[in-house]
Amino acid sequence: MARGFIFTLDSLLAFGLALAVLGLVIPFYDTTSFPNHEQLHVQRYTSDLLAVMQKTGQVRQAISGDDSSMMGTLIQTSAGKCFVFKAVNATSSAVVITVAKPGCGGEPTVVAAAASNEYYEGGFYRLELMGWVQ
Amino acid sequence: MRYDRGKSEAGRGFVATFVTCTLAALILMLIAFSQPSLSLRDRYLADYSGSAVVRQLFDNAAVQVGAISGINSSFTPRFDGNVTSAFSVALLSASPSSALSSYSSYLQDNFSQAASAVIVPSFGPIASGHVDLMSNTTDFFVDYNTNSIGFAASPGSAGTGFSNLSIALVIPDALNESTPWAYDESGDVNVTLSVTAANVTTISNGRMSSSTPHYYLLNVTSGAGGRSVMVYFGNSGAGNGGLQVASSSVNGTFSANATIPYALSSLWYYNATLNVTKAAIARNSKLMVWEGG
Repeated sequence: MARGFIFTLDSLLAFGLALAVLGLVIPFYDTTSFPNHEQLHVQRYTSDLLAVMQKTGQVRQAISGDDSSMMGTLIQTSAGKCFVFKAVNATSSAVVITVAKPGCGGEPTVVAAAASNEYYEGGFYRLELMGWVQ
Repeated sequence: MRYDRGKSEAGRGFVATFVTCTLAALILMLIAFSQPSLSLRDRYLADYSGSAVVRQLFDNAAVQVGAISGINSSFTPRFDGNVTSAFSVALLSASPSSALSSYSSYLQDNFSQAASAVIVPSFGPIASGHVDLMSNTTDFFVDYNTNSIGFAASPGSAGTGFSNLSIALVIPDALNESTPWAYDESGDVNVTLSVTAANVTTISNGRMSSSTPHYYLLNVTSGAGGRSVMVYFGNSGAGNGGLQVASSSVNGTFSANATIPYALSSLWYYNATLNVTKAAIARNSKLMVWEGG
């Protein structure tokens, strides 16, 4: 009985020692942070979505005033993901058009942004697409 | 006796402590070795994502250069080991030099900030009024200063490498007269020329030697200072298989489909470079339009 008690006490002391060592090691551990997988996924999704909207001509259409195709694309994106597109005239810095996916409210948990540019009818436009997960 | 028993218990205690410490050290080592590999994976994914963003930046810059220059191009690999390269551009276009210079400045200054990157374009060669869209062997050029369009052998290449060349000219004016070229059946390139004008449509086809000169002249108005389109195929000085379509005040569109072996045309790029540094990713290369596929 006494021997078992000593073994248990001994093990507990060793375990406590191990925890203490662990506690000392963790603060020195490399804490360099990288975006987690969800952040990377939203970033890639946002970046790819902007590229698709450019390559299919939806960005040019939206700059010319017709955002119906772009809105259709945004509505078809995954549920829970929200996007806001903005085209800014590179010369005047005026926002030419803003297109937002409907039904997006609440607090975002993960936010990503993509930027590109478009030449259209003699003018340059800076394109911004912000994406987030609700 | 008691002394011996105490010694034996102390020995057991030591073993138990040693085993516990070993297990604890093992757990610590497992944690320590698993954490860095997780970080490396995240670092790899982050780098991959960053490189994809840089790649999209290059792709988009090439698309915008094409839009500014008014050049449409597409490349379709075929099952027979060839690539069909299609190009179209207006016969008379305003020089895009100024717009290309503005785009270069915009990328370097304003857009660098928006993209959180350092972007240094070198558009010098194409911003001088002569845009080249090149592969290893073939150079599709548009010279806005002389209103000429065509193909030449790329530097270091003996020829354009065409096996088939299909040219289409659409001219909104009526043709006054035309002087067709002669085909030679022993030629090495199958050439088709389609001319659509307000008053006539002609299609001619046959083989031509890529090393001898062939001329096709289309006159809208005759005489000195007349409006015309001259089409030349043959040796261009830079190599065999050159094509030049020169417009003298004639509007319209030029389009061409060229069949070239895949090995000679798996890369097409503008003669302009972009140097982009974004976080840990750096890329300095030509503006690629097509990279195989």
